[in-house]
Amino acid sequence: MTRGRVAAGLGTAGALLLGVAGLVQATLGAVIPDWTGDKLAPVGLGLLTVGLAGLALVAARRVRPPGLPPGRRAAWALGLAGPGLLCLSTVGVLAWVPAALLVAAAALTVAGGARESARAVAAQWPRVLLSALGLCQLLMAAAAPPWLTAIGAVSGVALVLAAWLPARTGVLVALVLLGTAPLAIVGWFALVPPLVAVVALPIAAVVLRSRPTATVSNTGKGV
Amino acid sequence: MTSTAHRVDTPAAPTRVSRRRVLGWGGATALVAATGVLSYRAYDTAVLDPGGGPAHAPWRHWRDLPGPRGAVAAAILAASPHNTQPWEFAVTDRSIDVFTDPLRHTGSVDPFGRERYAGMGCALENLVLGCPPGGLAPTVTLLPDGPAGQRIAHVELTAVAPRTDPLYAAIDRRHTNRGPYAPSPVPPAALAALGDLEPPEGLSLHWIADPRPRAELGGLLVDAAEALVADEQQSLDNFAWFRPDNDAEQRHRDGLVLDGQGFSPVQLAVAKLLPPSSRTAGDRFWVNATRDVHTATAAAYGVVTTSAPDDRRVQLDAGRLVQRIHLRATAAGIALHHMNQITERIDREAATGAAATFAPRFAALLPTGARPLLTFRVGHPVRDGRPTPRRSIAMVTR
Repeated sequence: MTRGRVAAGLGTAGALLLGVAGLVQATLGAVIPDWTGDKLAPVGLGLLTVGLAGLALVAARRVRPPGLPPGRRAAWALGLAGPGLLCLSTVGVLAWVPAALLVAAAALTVAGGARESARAVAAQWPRVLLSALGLCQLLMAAAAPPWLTAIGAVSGVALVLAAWLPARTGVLVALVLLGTAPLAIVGWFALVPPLVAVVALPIAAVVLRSRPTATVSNTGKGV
Repeated sequence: MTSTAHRVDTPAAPTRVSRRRVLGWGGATALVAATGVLSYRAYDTAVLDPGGGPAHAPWRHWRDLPGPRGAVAAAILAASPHNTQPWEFAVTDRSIDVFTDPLRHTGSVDPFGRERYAGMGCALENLVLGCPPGGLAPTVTLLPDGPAGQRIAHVELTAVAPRTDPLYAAIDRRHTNRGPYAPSPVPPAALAALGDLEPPEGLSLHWIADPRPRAELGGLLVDAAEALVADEQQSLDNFAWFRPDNDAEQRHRDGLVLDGQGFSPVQLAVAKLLPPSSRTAGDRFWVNATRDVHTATAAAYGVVTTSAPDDRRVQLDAGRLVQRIHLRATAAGIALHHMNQITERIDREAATGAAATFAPRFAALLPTGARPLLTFRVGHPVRDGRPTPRRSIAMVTR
């Protein structure tokens, strides 16, 4: 059995168990708090966990074929390990087994070419950092009043898109501004949103300067 | 012109990375990691949502309920010592019984339960004010089971035409304001208007606004705060009601919270983002705030006195009086902050058999024979007070 097949098997099992844990949290979280982390909002966290399980399942299905490019392999490994680690804070003890399976699957996914994967990630490091800041926006927005949650969600998604979207410079600049300014302005009193903007802007400038090679025609339009 | 395509901006990936580049991106990574930690704290403490969540829902929905439950919704927004909310209610269509929960106390901080009964009086006053808008006229019988009974009031309800009261309208704007007050004085006429024209039997209200006695009382309040934090049991009993983070606040829905400390928005964010403070650090903060903010900016002090501070009926009436004063102050744009550490030390010294040090010093500032029951400061607020967490009606009804 290839390493990819084992990783896919472990990842699938972990994702399915995580989905079950999420459903248990959503339906019985308040009844068995010792097992589910005694959360204040078990329904919301349970549904979030089901969503994370879905992401992990997609990742588990993609790591199977051999010969994946190192960058893609690293990305899918993150898709396995990320939900596995995050769910430790959403479903309490119920997450221990699925988290272990998912992290093991992630480790197996990159084990064959760890150096190449690391190199691929390092080559995209500014984008990784900018995406991480977008996730910071999403995290903060999760504990905000609804109107601020909406602004934070748009900001977070905009920063992640600015990091990876192959678009024109003007569009990317707009995405960076959308990803930083609105939440920094309306959430100034919390101090962290302006800090995220201050940290994100120079990193975004580097990302914009070192965009992947764009092929342009002599008409000046991107193709 | 032929259409040719060419590649731009295509430097080959360097095979060797400069030390400066590594240090630069290492620093950026550390910065992003630190930002991530702060973002998690912002999420965990809900710093973007001060005054939000289910613990504050009673402030937003208190007018939604009709009839007797609407009156209870007003009652649970009242002041109470350390926000202990020591109340329970039994509600029918024709009456409301108000009970005190003896388990919700501050221990050695209030060894004789005077503040707890005053807090019950505050809730009773709000409950009475909450009846007429729902078309109910309340008739209050205090302590129907005697002074030792847990039922502190029976409120009989009769149907009348609905009407509102200015004090009722101020119920959800009334918050203890522990922030700084503006240097402008509160005129004597404005102070007098805060009290009752005819105070309840056995009670008097004294205003201490002149600079010299005000400074003396301020010094006494600072001394009492220092004595209280030096008394380990009182310090522990104080700290037991402190809710250090949003999780504890939403779970317990009571107690002292950072939102209620009178911070500016930036101070509040910093306080929430930092790790929770220890008991001793919290004590030191309180003593410093008492010296540098509370007493330094008080425009005047109000002291409710009586000759019978141990009488439960008097304690309940004192609570009702202070709640009315606070609501009138709120309606007039005047801030109020309960400051009872002197009487807490007086009771502690009496309970432990220690020599009375605070009672004679406080008595020297009051008319002869007047014994202090409740103390507070007033002034023009620099910033508004913030709502504190509340248990829901479902949590406090039998």
